[in-house]
Amino acid sequence: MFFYAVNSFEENDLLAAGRRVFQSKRNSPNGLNGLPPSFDTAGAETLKAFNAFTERVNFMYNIDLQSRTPIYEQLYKKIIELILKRELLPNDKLPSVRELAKELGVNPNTVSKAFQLLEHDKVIYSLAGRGSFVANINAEAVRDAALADFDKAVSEALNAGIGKSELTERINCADIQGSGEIKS
Amino acid sequence: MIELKNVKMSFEDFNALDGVDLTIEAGTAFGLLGSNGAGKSTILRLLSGVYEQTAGEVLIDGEPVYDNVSAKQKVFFINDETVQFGSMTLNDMRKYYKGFYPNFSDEIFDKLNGVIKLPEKKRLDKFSKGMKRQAIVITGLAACTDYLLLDEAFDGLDPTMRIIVKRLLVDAMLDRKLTVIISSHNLKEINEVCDTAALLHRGKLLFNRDLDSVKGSIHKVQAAFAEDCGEDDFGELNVLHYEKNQSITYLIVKGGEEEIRAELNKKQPKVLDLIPLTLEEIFIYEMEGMGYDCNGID
Repeated sequence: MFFYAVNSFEENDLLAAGRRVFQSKRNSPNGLNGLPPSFDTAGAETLKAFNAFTERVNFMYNIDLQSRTPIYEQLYKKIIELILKRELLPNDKLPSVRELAKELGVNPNTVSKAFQLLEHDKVIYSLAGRGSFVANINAEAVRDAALADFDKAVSEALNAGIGKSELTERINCADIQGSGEIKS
Repeated sequence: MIELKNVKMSFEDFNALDGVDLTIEAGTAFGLLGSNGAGKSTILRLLSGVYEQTAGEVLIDGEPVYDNVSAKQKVFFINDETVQFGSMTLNDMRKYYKGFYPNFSDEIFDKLNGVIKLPEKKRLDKFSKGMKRQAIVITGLAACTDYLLLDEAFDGLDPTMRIIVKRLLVDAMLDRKLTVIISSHNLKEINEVCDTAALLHRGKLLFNRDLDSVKGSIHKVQAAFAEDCGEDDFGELNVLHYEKNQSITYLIVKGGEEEIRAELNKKQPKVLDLIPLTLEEIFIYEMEGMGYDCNGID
């Protein structure tokens, strides 16, 4: 979008650079192998940044505006989820309130509210004039929160008449994707 | 800050507003909800000095609005009746509003029209409905007022324009603490854009609250109890609606999730499910409580 573009030259440059890499690889007679190794290293870096950017945009859109859950709460949970999945690492910079509000088409006060709550819960910290960053979060607290959510989900599933064995089976399947413990 | 103190507005024998008290903090996006004829537009017209209230006070930053230029210069009203000056061109309209609003920004105006590309030399009454709407919206944003009133907020704007307007509102709210007041029937839009909302019905205010707390304030309950429960067994809860279908009880209950759960758990339910209502459902149940009911029709 136009107004977003004005404020995000870097990201657009990144996108353009990423596209150039794709194009040049596609157009090269020998395909991927035809490029000089030095270009490939640089290209790989750009690609990595490009992927990181598209991933970020995807995560931003991943909020359900029609949901019954308040938007600030969804955002709060989403950021914690990203930290738990290690897509956001300690000291990573978060998008600004402005960027997120524009990207999601929501009120900046709502985004601020989520950030304030995250800061209060010591999940993120902010530096005046520089933005918000992921904190070295207390692994214990995150674990407790995740387990509380889990207990709630289990009791709902049991209420819905799903047997314990079926739930156990699901846990066993889910284990494959498990990402291990969180550094504190 | 906007304050309405016990405001009454009568048109001959019709009371459009019947004692409304309302405070809107600076920097919020405020949604005005309500049935047709509830008084939403009347409030916006009072805030922009179009009407003078019959009784009570209408204040902007502590100053009365009616017939007060310094207060009115802080407010831009985007009317639902689109443009009033059909014989003007877009450029004429820009000049006209520039004469009244001291902070009017040509830069913003040009930037916006650079995207929309409305013809600058065509008479406004030759514009289509959507174009008229766009013309007044970009003029309103360029006026750089502290308060922007949008009647039937996004009606007549296409999806791209909606996104542009929303993004501009974000900038203005962050950069100059713009207060936006939006009246709308589109609850989805209010839900996305606003942080606070008021519900009006027949000239009275039903609630005025932070939207997040509104959303958590009414729950839909589905439960099955071991013992047979009738409607009267839930006296401790504020039940808005009761329905029973064989063994399953459906309730709409006012209150937070935890208090409702705690109360119902005393009856040892076999099944207990709670979901918060959407804004739309809350609107309908609140109205039903006021005797404004869609079930009477079908």
